[in-house]
Amino acid sequence: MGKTTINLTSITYAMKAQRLLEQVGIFTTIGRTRKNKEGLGCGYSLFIKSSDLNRTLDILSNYNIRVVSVEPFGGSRL
Amino acid sequence: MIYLDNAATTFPKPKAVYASIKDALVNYGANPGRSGHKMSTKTAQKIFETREKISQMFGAQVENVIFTNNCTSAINMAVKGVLKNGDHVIISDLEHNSVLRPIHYLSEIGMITYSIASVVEGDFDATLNNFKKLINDKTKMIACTHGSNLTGVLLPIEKLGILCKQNNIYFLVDAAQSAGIIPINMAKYNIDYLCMPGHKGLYGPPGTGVLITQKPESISPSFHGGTGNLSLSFSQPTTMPEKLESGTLNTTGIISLYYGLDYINKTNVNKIYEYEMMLASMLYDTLKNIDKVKLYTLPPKIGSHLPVICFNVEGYHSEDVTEFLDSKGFCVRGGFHCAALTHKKLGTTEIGAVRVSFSSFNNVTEIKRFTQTVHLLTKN
Repeated sequence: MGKTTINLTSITYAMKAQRLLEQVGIFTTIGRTRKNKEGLGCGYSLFIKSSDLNRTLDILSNYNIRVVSVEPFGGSRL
Repeated sequence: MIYLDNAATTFPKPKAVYASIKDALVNYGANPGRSGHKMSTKTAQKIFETREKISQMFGAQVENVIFTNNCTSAINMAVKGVLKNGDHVIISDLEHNSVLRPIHYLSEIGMITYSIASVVEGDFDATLNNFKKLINDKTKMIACTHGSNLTGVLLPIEKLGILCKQNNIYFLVDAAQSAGIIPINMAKYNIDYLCMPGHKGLYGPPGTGVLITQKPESISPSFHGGTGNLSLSFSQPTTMPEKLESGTLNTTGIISLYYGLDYINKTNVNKIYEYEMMLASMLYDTLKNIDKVKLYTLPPKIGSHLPVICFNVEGYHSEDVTEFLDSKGFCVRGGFHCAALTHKKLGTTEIGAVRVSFSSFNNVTEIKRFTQTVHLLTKN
C-alpha cells in the first residue's frame, strides 16, 4: 500500500489537519518535511495512504489549510 | 492564610496544574515545533491541545491562538501591530495601565490620537453612547477592558462589538479579569483581538498569556525570529501562529495552562461566575452595614459586574488597611492597582482603595471572617 507526503506550512496546521482527518476516518502521521517545493526549509508533513489523497486534499481545501506540496512518501529522503 | 487577591493572580491553582508542571518538565522537555523526534512531537501535541482548548472556549480558529508572556504582552502585540500613523483609538475610563500605557505611548510619540469614553455603571446604553460620540473618521480601534480590575464594573462588549462592526472599527478586548469567569465568544461579540492572562481566571501559572485574533492579517509582528518553519527564508512566516509567535514557547506554562482550562471546563464557567458573584454580593452586603466603610459601586450583579469589590475605611490609607488585614492573615491588594484612570474617576488618587477579588476556591466562611476583621479595624 503506497504512502504520500503532504507538506504543510507548520506543526500547528499539520496537527489541525490531522485532527480534522481523524474525524472522517483518515489516519495520518506527522513528520518533518524532507523536501520543500518552495525551498524555504523546515516544515511539517502529513503522511497518508495514497488512496486517501484526493479526499484529504478536498478536506484540507475546505478548511483553508494550505498545502505546500505533495510528494511520494520517501521519494526525497537522502 | 486567606487569599482574596485573585484579580492579581489566582491562588491556589487546581491540583492538576501543580502536578503538570513537574510532568511538563520531565516528560515534555523538548522544544515543540522545532524537531521531528518523538519528544518534540509529543510536546507539540500538548501545546496544540492547549491551543485547541482555548480556541473552543473563546470561539476562534486554533491557529489564531497566540501564546504570550501575559495579558500585557498580548495587548501590546495587538495595539502596536495594528495601529498606524494618524489612527485614532477610543478607550474607556476604566482601563488598566496595560491598555492605557501602550496607547498613551503611541500618542506621546505622535503616531496616534486617542479619546477616553466614560463608563456609566449599570447603564450599558449610556456607556455605548459615550463611545459612539467619540468615533471620528480616523477611528481605527476601540480598545477596552471587559470589566474593571478595580471596581468589577463590566463594559457592554456585545453592544460595543456591534458598534465596531457597523463602523468598520477594530475591536480589542482586555479580558484580564473576565477570561475564565464570564463566557466570551469572539465571533458572537465581534471581537477582533482578545487578550488575556493565563494565570488569573484560567488558573494557569504566571508567565502565560494569550492573544486571540479573528483578523491575523491585520497585525504586523512586533517580534521576529525563529519559528521552526520556513527556516531558510529571511522573512517572518505569514502563517499563523508562527507569524506572531517567534522564539521558544513557555512549554511548561502552556502545558500547565491546559489543566487550568480543563478545570474551568469541568467546573463550568457559568457556575464559577455565579458562585464568585454570590461571594462578592455577600461581602458587599456586609461591608455596606459597617460604619466607616466606603464602597464605590452599586451592589454587584450578574451581567453588570465582575466578582471584585473595592472599599476604603474612613481615616485610613488603603495600604494601612491591607497591612492590618495581612497581619490577620488576609491577602488583599491596596494602593492603585495599575489603574490610574479608574482611581481618578473614583476620586481615590490620594488613598487608593482596598480590593477584594475572588476565585472558585474561596468560600463563605472566609468572607465572614474577612468582614469580621474589617469590622474589628473600624472599632479601633
